[in-house]
Amino acid sequence: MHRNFRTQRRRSTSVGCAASSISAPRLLASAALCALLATSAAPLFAEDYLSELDAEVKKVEARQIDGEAGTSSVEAPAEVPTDSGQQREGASRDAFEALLKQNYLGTFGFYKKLPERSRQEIYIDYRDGAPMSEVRKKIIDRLLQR
Amino acid sequence: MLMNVKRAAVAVMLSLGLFASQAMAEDEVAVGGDFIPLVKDKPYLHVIHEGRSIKVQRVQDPDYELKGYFAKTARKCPPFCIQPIEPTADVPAIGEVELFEFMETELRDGTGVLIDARTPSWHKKGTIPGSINLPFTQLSKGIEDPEMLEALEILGAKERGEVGFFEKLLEDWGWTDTTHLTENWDFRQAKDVVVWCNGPACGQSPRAIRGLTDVGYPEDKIKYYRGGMQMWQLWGLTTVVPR
Repeated sequence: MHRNFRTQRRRSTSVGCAASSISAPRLLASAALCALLATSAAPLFAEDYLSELDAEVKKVEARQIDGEAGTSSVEAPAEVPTDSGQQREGASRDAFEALLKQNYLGTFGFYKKLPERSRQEIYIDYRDGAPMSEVRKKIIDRLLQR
Repeated sequence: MLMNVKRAAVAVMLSLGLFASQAMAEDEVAVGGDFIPLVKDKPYLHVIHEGRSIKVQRVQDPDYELKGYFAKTARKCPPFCIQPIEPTADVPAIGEVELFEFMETELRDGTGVLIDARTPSWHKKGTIPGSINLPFTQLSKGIEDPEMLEALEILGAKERGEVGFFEKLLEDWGWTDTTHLTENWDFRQAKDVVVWCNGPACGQSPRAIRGLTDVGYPEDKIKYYRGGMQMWQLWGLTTVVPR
C-alpha cells in the first residue's frame, strides 16, 4: 500500500497536470497547483522576455554611415537660463516632480522622457501658476512633439 | 502710358517665371541624376522630432551595405521568432511607402501618432524620426493602470464618465454611432497609430497592439509597420538618436 502510494505520487509528479487516475481530492489539489503554476508562469515568461531583450540591446551599436542620410542626432537642447535663485528653484522643481510622481504617475513617466529644455519649460509654467490640467496637457503636447 | 505699364508688368512676370523655372531646374538637378529618392517623385520628406524638423531620405552611397545588429539574419527563437504579417485579425500591416504617406498626412496634421513600442533602452539606440516611445510594457497594462490611462489620454481616447439616460437610450436604439464607443471609453477622437519595433522577428509591437485592442482601442485606427527598424535601416533611411 505504502509502495503503491509512493509509486502513484512519483507518477503524478512525473506526468504533471495530467492526473486522470488520481482520486477526486487529489485531482482538485493538482488542478489548484496547475492553476497556480499557470498564473505564476506568465509573469515569469514576461520577465524572461524582458531580460532577453535587455541582453539583445547590448549587441546594438550606434549606426555609423557616411553620407547625408543615416543617423542624425537630435541636438541637445539649450539650457533655459535660470535666475540667481537657482538653488531654491532646484528644490522647488524637485517638489513639483515629487507631486507629479505622487498624483499623476503616468504623466510623470512621460515628463521624464522629455528633453531637459521641455521639462524646465513645464516646471516654469507650473511655478508661474499654470493649473495642473494645463501642465499635464503640455507634457502630452511636448511628448507628441507639438 | 498705360501700354508701357502693361509691358513692364509682362516683362517682370516673364522674368519672374524664367527665374522660377531656373530655380526649379536647379532643384531637380540637385535631387536628379543618381539621387535615390524615397519613392518615385518623392526625394525626401520632413518630420518633426523632439521639436526639430528632420529630413528623412535614403543613404546616397551606392556601395552602402547594412552592417551590425540589424544585418543579422539569425536570432534566437523563441523569443525572437518571425511574426505573422498581421498581429491580430483586423490590424493591417503596412510597408515603408504607406509609412511615408502616414508621416506626411496624419502625423503632420496631428491626427496620427507613430509609436516606437520598444523598451526605452532600444529607443535610446536610435529611432524612426517622428516616433514617440510608448513601450509595449506600458501598452500591455490593464485599463485601470495609470500608465495605460495616460497612454490612452495621449492617444486621444476619453473616459466617458456617467452616460446620461437619453444618451444611453439613443445608443441602444442605434440612433448614435457607437462604432468607437465602449461602455467606459470614447475612442471617436482617438488617433490613428502606426506601431513598430525592431522588425519582422520582433514581438514588442505585436504585444503593444494586442494590449491596445484588449482595452478596446479600435482596430481600424491601428496599423502595424512590421518591417520596423530592420527594414528601415535596410533601405538606408534616416534614423535619429534621441537625447
